[in-house]
Amino acid sequence: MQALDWTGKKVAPTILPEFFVLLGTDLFLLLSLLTCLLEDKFPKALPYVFQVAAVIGFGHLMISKEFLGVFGEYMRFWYCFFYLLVALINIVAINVRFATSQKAWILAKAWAGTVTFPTIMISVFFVSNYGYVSSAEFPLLLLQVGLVIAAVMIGVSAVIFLSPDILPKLRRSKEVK
Amino acid sequence: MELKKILSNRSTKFLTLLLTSMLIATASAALYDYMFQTGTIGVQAMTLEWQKGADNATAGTQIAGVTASLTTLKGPPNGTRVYTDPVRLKNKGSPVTFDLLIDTVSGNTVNMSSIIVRLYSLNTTAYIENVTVWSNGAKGSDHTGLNIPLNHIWRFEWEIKWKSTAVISDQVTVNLKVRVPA
Repeated sequence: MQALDWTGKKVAPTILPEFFVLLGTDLFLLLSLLTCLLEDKFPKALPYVFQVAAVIGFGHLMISKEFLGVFGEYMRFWYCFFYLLVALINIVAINVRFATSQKAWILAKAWAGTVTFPTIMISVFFVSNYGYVSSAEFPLLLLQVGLVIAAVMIGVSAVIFLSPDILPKLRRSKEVK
Repeated sequence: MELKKILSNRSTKFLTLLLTSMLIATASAALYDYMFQTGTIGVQAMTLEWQKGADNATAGTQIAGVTASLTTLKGPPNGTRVYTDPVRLKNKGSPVTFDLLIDTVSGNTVNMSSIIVRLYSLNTTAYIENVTVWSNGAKGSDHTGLNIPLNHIWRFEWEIKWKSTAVISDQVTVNLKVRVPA
């Protein structure tokens, strides 16, 4: 008599910690292509630097694959999350560069709306999802804070988009006071 | 001319980067997919377990993990032999619904009259199910949806009938499976 068929129940979360490396790699590739398109604004080597960073992400995945049984999930999450964080910091840094040193306000706004904001939101969503499935608690109620920031940003962006003269008006009213 | 050159340089650079990007992204995704497939299969906690019954010595009951083997079941030709308690199934966890499948019946089945397994609860002494493993020259049908409550133990009673034509060297091997739907 043979009992208890091998059912292979899934015990791991629906996404692996390495998903964040995959996401980070894709973000670096996106940055590489975008900085290539905007090459007048950046050093010539920057797209290639981002490509190298993406290759490092691939290497990251290779290491994770080889040491899957050795590294605990906690450790895997943190080094994968750190890589994603580096990619996001690069995106924000480019946004800040547009806004401050280059004074390219339109480009900075466009970058914030099309690259910075969506990538941060996607990252917050997946990190929160991972935390929820793994029953891990992240500090500062990450998802809620992320959603509030997103809502505020959408609101402010919509107002500025619909009435572009609102900022000069606000500035002028402050000067009058 | 200058503008054309710049555009051409830029598009070549972009195309090169696009190609390498696609390559890196595809390789990374493939690696992740591989890890996902190898990394997410775990072992389900066992809620059902085999236990030796009171007749385990005469039935030659051996339990190794998920497999229980009854190695010395015997029956007389043209007669009936009943092993009332050779093996038991215990539910250690929450209530489980399982299927009892008659996987294979092989060997000298032409001389086998019938093999019937009856399930009884040791907790309530109630009769649960009658499983015809072999009868009238054919394998019986599977039994599905058997519900064993928490901490209950069921005993498997085996009834063996050989035909009068059976000889001492005849052997029949029965493989039953308990399947717990995921």
